[in-house]
Amino acid sequence: MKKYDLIVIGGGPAGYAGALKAAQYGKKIALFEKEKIGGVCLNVGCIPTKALSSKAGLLENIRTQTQKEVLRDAGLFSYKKIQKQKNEVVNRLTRGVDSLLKAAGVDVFLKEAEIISPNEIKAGSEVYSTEYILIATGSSNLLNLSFDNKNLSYDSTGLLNIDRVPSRMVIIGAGVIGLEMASIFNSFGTKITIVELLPEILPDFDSDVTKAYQRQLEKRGIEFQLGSLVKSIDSIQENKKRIIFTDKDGQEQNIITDIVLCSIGRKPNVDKANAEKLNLKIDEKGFIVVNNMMQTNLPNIFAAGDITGAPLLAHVAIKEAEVAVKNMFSDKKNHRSTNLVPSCIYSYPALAKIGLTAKQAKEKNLEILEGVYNYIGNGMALALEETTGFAKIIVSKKDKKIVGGQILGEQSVELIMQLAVVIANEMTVDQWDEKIMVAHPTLSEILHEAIMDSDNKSIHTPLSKKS
Amino acid sequence: MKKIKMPPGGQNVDELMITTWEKSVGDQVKRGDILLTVETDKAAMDVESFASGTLLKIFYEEGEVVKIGDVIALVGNPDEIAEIKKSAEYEKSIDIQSPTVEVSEAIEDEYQPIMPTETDKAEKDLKYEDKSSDEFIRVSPAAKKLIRDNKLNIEDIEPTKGKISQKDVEEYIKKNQTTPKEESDFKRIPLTNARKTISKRLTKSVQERPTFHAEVEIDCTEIIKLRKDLFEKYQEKVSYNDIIAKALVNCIKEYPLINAKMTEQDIIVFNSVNVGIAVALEENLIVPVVKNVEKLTILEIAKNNSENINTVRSGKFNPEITQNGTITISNMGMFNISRFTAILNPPEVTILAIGRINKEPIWNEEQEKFVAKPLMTITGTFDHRVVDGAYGAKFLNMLRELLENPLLMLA
Ligand SMILES: Cc1cc2nc3c(=O)[nH]c(=O)nc-3n(C[C@H](O)[C@H](O)[C@H](O)COP(=O)(O)OP(=O)(O)OC[C@H]3O[C@@H](n4cnc5c(N)ncnc54)[C@H](O)[C@@H]3O)c2cc1C
Repeated sequence: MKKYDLIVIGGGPAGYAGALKAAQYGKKIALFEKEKIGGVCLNVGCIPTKALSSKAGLLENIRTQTQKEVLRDAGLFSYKKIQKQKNEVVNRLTRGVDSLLKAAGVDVFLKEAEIISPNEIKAGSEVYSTEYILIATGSSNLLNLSFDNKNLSYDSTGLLNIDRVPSRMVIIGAGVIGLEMASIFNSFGTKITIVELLPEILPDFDSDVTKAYQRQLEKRGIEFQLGSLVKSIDSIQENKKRIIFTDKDGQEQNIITDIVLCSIGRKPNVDKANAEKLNLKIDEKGFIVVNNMMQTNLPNIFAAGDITGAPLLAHVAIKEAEVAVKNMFSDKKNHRSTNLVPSCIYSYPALAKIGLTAKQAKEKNLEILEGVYNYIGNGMALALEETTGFAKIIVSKKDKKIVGGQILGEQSVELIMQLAVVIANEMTVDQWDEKIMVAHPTLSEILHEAIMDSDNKSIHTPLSKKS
Repeated sequence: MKKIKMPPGGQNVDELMITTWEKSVGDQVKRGDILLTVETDKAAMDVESFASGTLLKIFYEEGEVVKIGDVIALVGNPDEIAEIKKSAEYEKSIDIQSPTVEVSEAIEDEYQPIMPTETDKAEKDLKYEDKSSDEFIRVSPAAKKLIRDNKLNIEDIEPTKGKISQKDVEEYIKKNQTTPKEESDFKRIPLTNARKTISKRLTKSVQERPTFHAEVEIDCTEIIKLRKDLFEKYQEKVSYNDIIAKALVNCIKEYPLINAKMTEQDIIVFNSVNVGIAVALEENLIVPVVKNVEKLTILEIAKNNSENINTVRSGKFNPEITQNGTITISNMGMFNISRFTAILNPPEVTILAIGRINKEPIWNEEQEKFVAKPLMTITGTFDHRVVDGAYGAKFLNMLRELLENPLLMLA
């Protein structure tokens, strides 16, 4: 029987990052993955969706330029080729991760693993013993829902694999996945309706931001049915489904559609019976309970990633796995920090946030200043013809420290990371003003102007607008 | 070669009727082009081609009802048709209305147009009507089609519950249909801006103001004499309107609410009396105002008034001339009208409608017989929110008294 320092269960972002980190400590590691290296993120999540959204953005650009007669003919596109390109991206990246693991000396087993004791796991008929275990089994789409007892809806994984663009799609759930898919398929020509139970989308953002965001998507023809409850889905003809829901006025409505995407949430990949047997603590939804060192109630079992609950994001998974491994193999204790998680929606336009929102600041009784700057006032945005959107910066009134930001518009998912650096270093508005020179012309100047606007010092905001 | 099949028409629909073929055999079609329109008893829709090529064959004509899924046309390369024709099965296939020839099952075109097709675009355009307010109006597909087909403006259609349904559009069309269909039955007169303004103002006046009417008959013997005297003395023509305007000033001193306006919180009583005198033009009605009548003599009123009338008739005047009126006089005597009622000129609360002067027999107590007297009716329209019945009546009676005894105006 082989003896390992660490056995990782799951080959997604949490699993592979944990294994690679442990390898840096010179440890002997095994990683078990029952499906494909890369997990949800690389195979059926972050990466394939972005391969599609980049093409969706390209089509939008071509349309704009054709309307402006810069291009004479927009031409034709092949969704099959876009799919092919998407698959190539996924393959390259998963192969890359695979070779990183091999190069680090990690023993990779493409097998399902089961914990039989805090120091032993079983895969097939073999048992492997280990000092530590990292559970990184991730999450899967919620399925078998009461309103869809005939299983007629697609989940995100199914939708990513269709080989032709549907002409009509209804999306249940206006979360990040639903919104990204809506934006992508709208660009490919699908008419989309989003049905959402809550009265507004993305409650973690400030509502002035989400209202503007929703309006942009509506302008593109995406229809929202908020405050609406789905009752049933049935099949009325070959390839045609009917979805019935009650809208916000309590009226029953139905839509005939090619495809229903159900994106209302994800559930942990946990073997509840086994957890009980091991006495491993899980919460009522089945997510594994960990302390802020990513340690479970069983001292040498750690967990990281989606399996430990919200936020279900790949960058959170990677960070958590690294924290877990550091706590196993280094004397210095590490804690997961939860306040600086960037949250990004890769739609057109894109939306991103970090740190505190105005809403959260209010809940914390923190007095704040807000700074706003519109893309339309920025030279680079004009040159790019991407003038939709704005940056909103949250500053603590007391000490003028920048504590949060939300950006709607082109490249917002990249711009937001500048704020991560600023907030992590507790930079004030004045320090930014003194120390930072922003290259011109860049979209980053939008951030600069928004930060200065919080102190009424943006020179590119008309004086009359300042209060 | 690709088979074009009758597409599904929605819930509980098994068959559809072909309304029109938009393409004919031999036409080039692109993917996304509208091939034909079809309808159910409830809705109409366009059928787009999913294939590109030449329209080779149409199996069903306009007006025919076709089962969903049945092949209605073939699109492909003209060479292909020759081959199929040779097989002799072709004609037969038409007879049995479903080709038995082996045509490859429609393979989907791999490439689709980047720009939205005409139909998509119409849908998207509807969406782009970003009603400037943040409120978003949904439009049902059937309604969209109706709007498009009738070339209507989506802004004009009133949504129910934030959504424009087919019914809303149908109702709009019904309402805006002018019934006689043949143009020879009527003549269409476009609304001028002036006509629009008049109609708006009058409608608003009637809708917002509860009014009452009261009338007095005036023995004009004295004012007829007064006019004559003034002309002999000053060679100036003074109209009855001028004399009434002068008399009004005295009455208003006694009954100030006649010369007032009402706001949401209070009644505003004007100090000056600005009398508007309605002038009928060819296709319009203008009410120039003689201002500060309380400071003017009858001759000055007459001069101002005739200047106003000339300016207005010339057609070139500053709108100021019609502004700041506090009371209006409208006289139809010259049109031989005995009596009429007028509509208030907001925000004023009084308008006087003057009829013609007519000789009428009046009982004379002293002479114990009927004597002919020149009588004139003045019908007042009052805003009842400000002017009570008795108040209006007393005002009119004082006016009568002054006009019958003009010397009292000096009192
Ligand atoms: C459509 C979509 C788009 C997304 N886009 C983004 C994005 O843009 N940005 C972002 O940050 N996040 C995104 N996410 C979320 C992101 O994919 C997840 O947060 C991330 O994959 C979590 O990583 P993980 O390692 O915890 O779990 P997973 O990626 O779920 O990996 C877990 C792995 O464990 C394996 N496994 C489970 N049980 C066993 C077992 N008993 N034995 C062996 N192997 C096992 C599974 O097969 C799986 O491969 C998206 C998700 C979806 C569905």
